[in-house]
Amino acid sequence: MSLYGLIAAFAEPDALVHAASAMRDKGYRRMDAFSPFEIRELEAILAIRPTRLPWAVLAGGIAGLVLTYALILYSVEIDYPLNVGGRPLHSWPPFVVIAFEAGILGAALAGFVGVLWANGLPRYHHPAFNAETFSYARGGKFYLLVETADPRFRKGVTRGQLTRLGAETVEEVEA
Amino acid sequence: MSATAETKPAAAQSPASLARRAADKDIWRSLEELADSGEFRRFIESEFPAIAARLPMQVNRRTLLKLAGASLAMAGLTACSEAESIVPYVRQPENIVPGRPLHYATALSSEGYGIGVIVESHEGRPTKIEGNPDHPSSRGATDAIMQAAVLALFDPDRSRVPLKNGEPAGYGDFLADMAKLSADWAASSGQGGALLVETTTSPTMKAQLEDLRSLYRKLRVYRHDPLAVPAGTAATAKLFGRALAPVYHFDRADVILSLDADFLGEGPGRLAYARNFADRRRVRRPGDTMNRLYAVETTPTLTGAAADRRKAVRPSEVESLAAALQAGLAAAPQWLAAAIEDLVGAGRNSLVVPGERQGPFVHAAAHGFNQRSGAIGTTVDFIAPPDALRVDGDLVALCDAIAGKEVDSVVVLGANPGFTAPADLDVRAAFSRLKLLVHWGLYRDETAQLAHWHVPAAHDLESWSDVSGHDGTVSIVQPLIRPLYGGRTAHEMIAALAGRFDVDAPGLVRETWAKRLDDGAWREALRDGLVAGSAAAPVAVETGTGLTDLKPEPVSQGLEVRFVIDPWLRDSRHANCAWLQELPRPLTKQVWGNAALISPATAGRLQLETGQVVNLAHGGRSIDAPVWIMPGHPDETVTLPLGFGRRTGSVAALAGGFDAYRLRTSDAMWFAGGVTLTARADTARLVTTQHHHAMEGRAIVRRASLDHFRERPDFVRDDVPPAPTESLYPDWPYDQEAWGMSIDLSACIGCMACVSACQAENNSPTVGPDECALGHEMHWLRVDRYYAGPPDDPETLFQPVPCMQCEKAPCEIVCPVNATVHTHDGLNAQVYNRCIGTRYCSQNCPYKVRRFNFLEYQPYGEEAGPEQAAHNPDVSVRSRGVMEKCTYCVQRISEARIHAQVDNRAIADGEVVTACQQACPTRAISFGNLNDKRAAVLREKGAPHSYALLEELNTRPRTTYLGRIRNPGNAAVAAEKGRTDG
Amino acid sequence: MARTAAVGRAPPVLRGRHDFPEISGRIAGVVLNGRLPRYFWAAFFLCFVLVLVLFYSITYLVAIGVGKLGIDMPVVWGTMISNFVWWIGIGHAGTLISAVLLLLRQPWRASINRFAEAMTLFAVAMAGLFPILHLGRPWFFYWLLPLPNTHMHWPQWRSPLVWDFAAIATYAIVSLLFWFMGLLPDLAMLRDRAKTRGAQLFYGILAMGWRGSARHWARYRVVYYLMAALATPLVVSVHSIVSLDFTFAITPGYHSTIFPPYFVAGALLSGFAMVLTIAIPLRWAFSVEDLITLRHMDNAAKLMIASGLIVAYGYASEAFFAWYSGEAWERTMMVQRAVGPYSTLFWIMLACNVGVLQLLWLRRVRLNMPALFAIAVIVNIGMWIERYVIVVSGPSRDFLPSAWGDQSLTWLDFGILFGSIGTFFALIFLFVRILPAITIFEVEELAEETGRVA
Repeated sequence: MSLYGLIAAFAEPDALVHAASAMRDKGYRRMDAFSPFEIRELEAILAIRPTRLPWAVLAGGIAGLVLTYALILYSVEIDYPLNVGGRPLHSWPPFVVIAFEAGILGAALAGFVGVLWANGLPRYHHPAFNAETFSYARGGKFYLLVETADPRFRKGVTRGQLTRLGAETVEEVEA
Repeated sequence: MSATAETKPAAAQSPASLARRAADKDIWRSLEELADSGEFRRFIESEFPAIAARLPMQVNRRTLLKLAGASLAMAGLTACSEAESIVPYVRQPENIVPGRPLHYATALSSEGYGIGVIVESHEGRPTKIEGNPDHPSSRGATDAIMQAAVLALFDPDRSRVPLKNGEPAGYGDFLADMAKLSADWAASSGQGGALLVETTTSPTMKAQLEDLRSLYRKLRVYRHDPLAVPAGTAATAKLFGRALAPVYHFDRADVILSLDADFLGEGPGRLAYARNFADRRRVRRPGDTMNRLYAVETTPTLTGAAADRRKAVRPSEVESLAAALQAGLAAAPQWLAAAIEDLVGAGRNSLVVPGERQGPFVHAAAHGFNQRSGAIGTTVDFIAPPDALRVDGDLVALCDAIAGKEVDSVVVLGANPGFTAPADLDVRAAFSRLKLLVHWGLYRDETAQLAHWHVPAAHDLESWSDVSGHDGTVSIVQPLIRPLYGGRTAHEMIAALAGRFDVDAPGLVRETWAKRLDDGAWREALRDGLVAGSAAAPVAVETGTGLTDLKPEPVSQGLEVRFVIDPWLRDSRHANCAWLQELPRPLTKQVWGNAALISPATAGRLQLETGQVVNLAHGGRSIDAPVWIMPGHPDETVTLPLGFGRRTGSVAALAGGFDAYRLRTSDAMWFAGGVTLTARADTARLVTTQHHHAMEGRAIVRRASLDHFRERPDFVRDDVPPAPTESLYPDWPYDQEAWGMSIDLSACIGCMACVSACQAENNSPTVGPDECALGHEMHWLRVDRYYAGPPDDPETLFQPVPCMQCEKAPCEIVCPVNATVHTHDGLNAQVYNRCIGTRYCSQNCPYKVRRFNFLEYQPYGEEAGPEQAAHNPDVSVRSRGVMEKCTYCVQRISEARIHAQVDNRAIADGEVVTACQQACPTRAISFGNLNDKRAAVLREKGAPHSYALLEELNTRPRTTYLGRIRNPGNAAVAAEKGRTDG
Repeated sequence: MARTAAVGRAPPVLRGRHDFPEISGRIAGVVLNGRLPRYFWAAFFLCFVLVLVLFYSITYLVAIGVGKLGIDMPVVWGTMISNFVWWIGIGHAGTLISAVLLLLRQPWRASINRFAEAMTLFAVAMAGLFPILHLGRPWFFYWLLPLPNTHMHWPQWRSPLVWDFAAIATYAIVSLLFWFMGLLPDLAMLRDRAKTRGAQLFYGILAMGWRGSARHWARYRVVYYLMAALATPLVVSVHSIVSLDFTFAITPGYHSTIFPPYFVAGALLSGFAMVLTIAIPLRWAFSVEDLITLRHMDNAAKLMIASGLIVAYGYASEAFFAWYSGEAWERTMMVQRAVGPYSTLFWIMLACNVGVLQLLWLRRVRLNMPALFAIAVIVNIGMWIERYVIVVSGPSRDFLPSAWGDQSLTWLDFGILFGSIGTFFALIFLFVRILPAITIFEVEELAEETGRVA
């Protein structure tokens, strides 16, 4: 059982934000914050890179649209050409409708799968869960996790710093 | 033979399944289930007809329980039935190629007169009736009833076994009794014996009856035919000194006056007359001429609907009109005077047709006029009546004779007096006094139930016989199939009475013709369907005593009744035929029932509404009937169609309607005055296939008078939205055939033969009255009937509406599964296997010609009864939940294509004939390949008054119409008609 | 804007002061403690009876055939289609609230989007039934998919029914994903709250190990907003395509270009009506009036009347263009709609969707829950009738008068309609029992933002 890091619980979002930025100033980098709802300020503090998922969504949309239109075109032009109501084989206006829907579907699937994949979900055994204090049971508190992997990590020191920053509890997290 | 083979396998394995079910279940419970299963019932019928004959029409649980028990016991006996009827061909008959139909010429009898037909037979199974082009009474056309003959042949309700006092018995026992009877008659020279026959034109039958009379001198022969009209012959007897029958030549008539005659819809010559009449109305170029028809009628008829000038009068007024015609212009009312003038102007090419139901005076007056105008020999000939028969009287006379103890044993051949007798005759009582009553008929009908002996009759398609057409032409009737239920022909019956038990039907017929036809000629007559040169020669007539002692009846007061025959059920003999029950009546579009027709004015006076039940009383008798308000019906007159109200027969029992015979007395067979009508509170369901009768000012049936057509040959383009000339889409190329149809609305008389033919050809199911009431009927082709003008004297318009086979088909683009697509030759095909029943196609069809199988209308396999043998094997039977529609008879197209490809040639024009086109008596429908420059249909479509229905929708229909042109003559009328075009 | 409005005369989005344990406790408590009032189960049982009715009716329909419905020739479409359009319409408000209001940053979305989305899903599920039950051979419905089937042919892509299939399927899937994403944080909360092992497993597995990491939140927000951005055109396209089933046909009364916008508006109208039909009893039954406040009701009512006016415009333009087209059949059809066999329904429809709706102009009515509930129900009825009238009146009076005919309604039509309604509410009940009907984390966020945390 090795130590994974220290997790500090705060009552208020502001406290978390303040603590996170303070720790960053102290040079900590390997940190993560946990909150019941999103806290926009943390993005800058924890230097989270803007996600590239929008491109995945776009790609998914285009793929769905193009593939579907190609399938339709293949079916009416090559595989099974039929005279339907004297209309041209390639009646693009109706085909576009279906392709559009398929595009939306492709984009949505790409987005959903993308966000799970990027977030590494589902993952049922993250060290954070090993912390007694880590729970959203009562509406959730606001947690800051400092990993042992951080070069500046010193168990006692870091604990003291977190406590001084107003953490309600500071707990050791087993890996 | 193969027909019974159709049903055997199902039956043969029934006992096994019965046993299986019985094994794993409580025996009684399973028997009850069995008792109700149609499968079991069919098993009984096919294995033990004797038992089947005892089955009540409505399934009765108790009796069936007993039978079910018996059947389990007898299950093993299956093997005992005649083997030959179940084994397939052991030796291949040399002239039968499986899958290739054979065609035989024979004749079907219609009220005793013969109409020549060609019957299509698949592996010995007659499936389709077509007209015999060489036969003068058919000219290749058929009517609805003839089309239904195949269904009647396979009707499971047909009587299947001789019955002695209602108990199944062997034919041998019957012959034994007949032997006794003939012995008695031989001894008493026929004392007390009598035959009751129907109208017959069969030389063999006549000869046999004469022989019988000479054999038993005291034997009496009576004739009962509820549709008989003796007035005509009576009149000619008066007029010309001898009974004669008229034969009309409408092809030579320029001006025609009909005195209550429905020559297009009634009578043995109707098909030929319709053809000749319409041939004089094919106007294509402004120069063409047309005949003109004035119609006086006492009830709306097809003839009245086709007339250029029509006048509805009360029945009793016709005689006075005839008198006026007799007296000449001075005495005539203005409109009749005009007609007379017109007739006189036409000289020998005029024709006055007396109504067959009218009294002798009307006939005499009409023929008198024809004689004066020199029409006799030109537009009308007289021949010796083909149905002439030496009889001792009619049913009335027979009943008197029975009452007078002069007759104690009667043999009824075909007739059903038990149902069709006049109401003032108590036939039941009379017959109950008889020592012996023998009945021979197709069904175990009301008379059969009174009879001591009932013998199943052979259907026309099972019989050897001979019969004459309306002009006397004789056809030899030959069987298409061995009698399914061991039925016998009338000839065999009479022979048996004569004590000849050894003879067979073909022998009897052959010997009639032994002198006139050698074997070669005989075979020729069988092949051609008629005896060459047997048409009766016209008789030269000279005025006899004249009309001196014929006086017109006075015009009667009060409400009058006009009895008419139901166009399909006739005297009710076809009441058990589902096709005919469900075929809309031409004018009312009513199905599965009849109604008392009255005029709008009379309805207004009596405050009656369609469907309301009224009580009609006359001569101490009364019936309840629902009222039907009929535009163009004469006022103060009620039309009562005969033939409904049957309760025997599983199909007939389904139908609604009332029995008008109960009001019909022997002294007033067709017309009755002084009828009292009292409205009742309740209403009855009247099922009709068309609910709206006005065109709402839309250019649907486009029409004009001849004069207007001459001014504006393309009148169909006037005041109608123009057809779009261009489309967003490029035209689809049709480099092979491009099938198209043209329907001439001037020629169509609305006789419904096409609809019946379509049903027969394409295995369209019947759905029954309840489903029809919901609007679920399945006819692929419908004949729309519109009224235009005032309701008391409207113009009646017919328009056959098949699938238009649109080139830009709206139905196809909305089908999500490609179940309806275009074929290479431009057909709008329906692929039943692909259809999943979204019904979007029908929703998007502006013509509403698609039909949907809302339920499982057509059982197949084990569920289906013998009637499935009438199915056309070239057309698949559709299952529940799929859409179906007219296909231009694609099976006939493919057959023609196969033949053409086999001998490597193009399909010739006229090689493909659709079922509707083939049946049409007036050749109103033409069909062919539009890519064939010489095609007849192309000429039709080239006519100036050719138009497409709803062409402004740009559906590009392949089916087009020729505008309806009438010839009322009067310029004012013409102009007015021209304005109200569309 | 919402916040300023909250200070103004409009009632606030959240009433009173809250803290996180209280919010999460009250909402999640409904699910986990399972202490539900007796009448909840009574109502659920009632719905369950209707579920059985639906099963019986469907079995009968498939066994005997669609001929047992009221349909006939010429009116071969009937209640199966009108039910379909009705349910799809109801299914629109959910996505609109959750997606569009999200994009528009409408704070009042927070406490009602969850069950509105659930409502969408169930409504779409119901709607999905009907195109299949409508078929003459329902067991072959999959032939609409581009699968190799026994006939080796493809769907006929030009048919609006195939577009429907694509649209509905897409809509159902996207709504489901969107809904599930919204659920993740709340599922995590339930996971941690859950006492029993079963509940822990159930919610735990569903929560996929969500831990609210700031990095996750960052991606989560982006994709959630993107999905909203996708759902918005989708929601518009779906009902437009449904309306094309009619517009695409040449039948009088169907062939009209106003349909797409007018159907979408109708969808919102019925959708919000259904939202209110559910929300009003819900907030009362679980006494969350301070989370789902009069403000929500007020806004929903305003949206109803807005969309209702567009619908009214649709009616008007339909009638106008029937006349303006100058086509005999369009005019006749319109007249027949007003005086013909279906005129009664037509006038009831106008009374419900145009007449009664106008009461919502009055603030008093909008804030009076019983009145609002009644109007919502009336509008739902009116919208069903609208769809039925559109479906049947066109074909019953189309081009050839000889083919004119009316259709009837049989017990089967009603059995399936009411059965589906019962099933829908039964699902809603189950949802309320199993999942948090109000988005906990967003309400918390909202409380935080609006400074209402104790």
